[in-house]
Amino acid sequence: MEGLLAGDDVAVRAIYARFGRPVYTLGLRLLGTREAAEELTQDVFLTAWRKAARFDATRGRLSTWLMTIAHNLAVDRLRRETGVTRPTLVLVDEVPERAGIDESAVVLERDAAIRALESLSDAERRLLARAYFRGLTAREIAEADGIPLGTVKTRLRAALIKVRRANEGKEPS
Amino acid sequence: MNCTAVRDRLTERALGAVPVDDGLALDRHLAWCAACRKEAGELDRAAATFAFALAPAEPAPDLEDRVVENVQAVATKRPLPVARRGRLAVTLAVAGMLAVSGLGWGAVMAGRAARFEDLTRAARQGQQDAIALFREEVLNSAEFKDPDNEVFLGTLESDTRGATAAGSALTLVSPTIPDIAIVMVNGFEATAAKGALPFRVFLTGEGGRRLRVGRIKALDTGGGAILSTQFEVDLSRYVGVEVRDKDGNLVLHGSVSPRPSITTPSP
Repeated sequence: MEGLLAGDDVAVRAIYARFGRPVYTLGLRLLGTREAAEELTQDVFLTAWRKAARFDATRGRLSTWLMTIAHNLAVDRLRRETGVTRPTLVLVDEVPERAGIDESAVVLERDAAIRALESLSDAERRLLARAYFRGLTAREIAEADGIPLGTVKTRLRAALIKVRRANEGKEPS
Repeated sequence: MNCTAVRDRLTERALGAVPVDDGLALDRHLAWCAACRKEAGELDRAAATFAFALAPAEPAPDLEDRVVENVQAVATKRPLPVARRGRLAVTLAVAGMLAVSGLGWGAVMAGRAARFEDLTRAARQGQQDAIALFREEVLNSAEFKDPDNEVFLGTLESDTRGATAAGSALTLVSPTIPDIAIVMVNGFEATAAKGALPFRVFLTGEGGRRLRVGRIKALDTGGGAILSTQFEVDLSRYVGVEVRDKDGNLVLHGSVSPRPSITTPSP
């Protein structure tokens, strides 16, 4: 992180090599265009530089920190663009496969994530996705589904804790 | 907020599904409460799982170079970041601006200008009023006096002959708090402008990069409106301001410059 703070070429490239593609991928999935995803990626790294002094490795992983920044920036952007309306997930179905790139850490990260999500039922996965990818609040989900707010909160929390437990000890550092 | 109330919202926070204001309140609590912060961190980590599970996409080959260049540009130009502070004060200052705007400062012209000369004069007066508001409500706040923060200000004009609309723009660039952009417009003839809404407001920077400040969906009775947005990106490289109508036509434009060069329009 010291290298990032100083804008060190090698340090920034090392962090990009590890997390640039996941950040870009999330941007593409949420914002829907390559241009927007590229802008988001640049903004995420600038924000990471700005907040680097606040990052504490003992409290959380760099990958989580960066992806949280990416998700928040993307959702903020969608909200700005859509005003009071809810961000809409733009699904990009045709995603080019990458080839010939040795990024075993990234592959392991994705494998671990997929395994963790497999701990959820389809209903739990859909519920969490409505919040994470569409930005729906618990209240909005409750109103849409006609179920009590407390029930939605309980289900969201239970599902997220399931993912957390599935993650424990399985993710690469 | 107490711990019970905070923990009730941490799941939604981790999923990015809380309104900005609620998020700020949660962040303030998390800044001092280690127990809730630990819980929040674990939930954040679980939520990020969704992002890592996505099928990977391939960015443009030169994106890495652009990212590195951007980080190096700000890292060599600005002081290193320290712990965030003062966010609430800035938010309150902006809220004050919005409250004043809510009274309809654009209405300084409403119903009082039947002739073109009056409209022009009134528009200029409105512009001066806007800048005065900047000075009183925002520029005098602690964040805008902080020598570490840079304030950029400018006016917005129309290229249309005889147009009465004008505007002001302000950006605050800080190494310690989120950068802020405030854009105000006024003098639009409300009925005529209605068909051109919503206006889209952008900051523009090097290489044609654009940042969306937001959308103006409605004007007050005096043909005015105000937008305020916080950014986690460095606004120092965005000095252009564009207001475009719903069809993308340029309605107002201008640029911001460092605070000492602020001038009010000539009467």
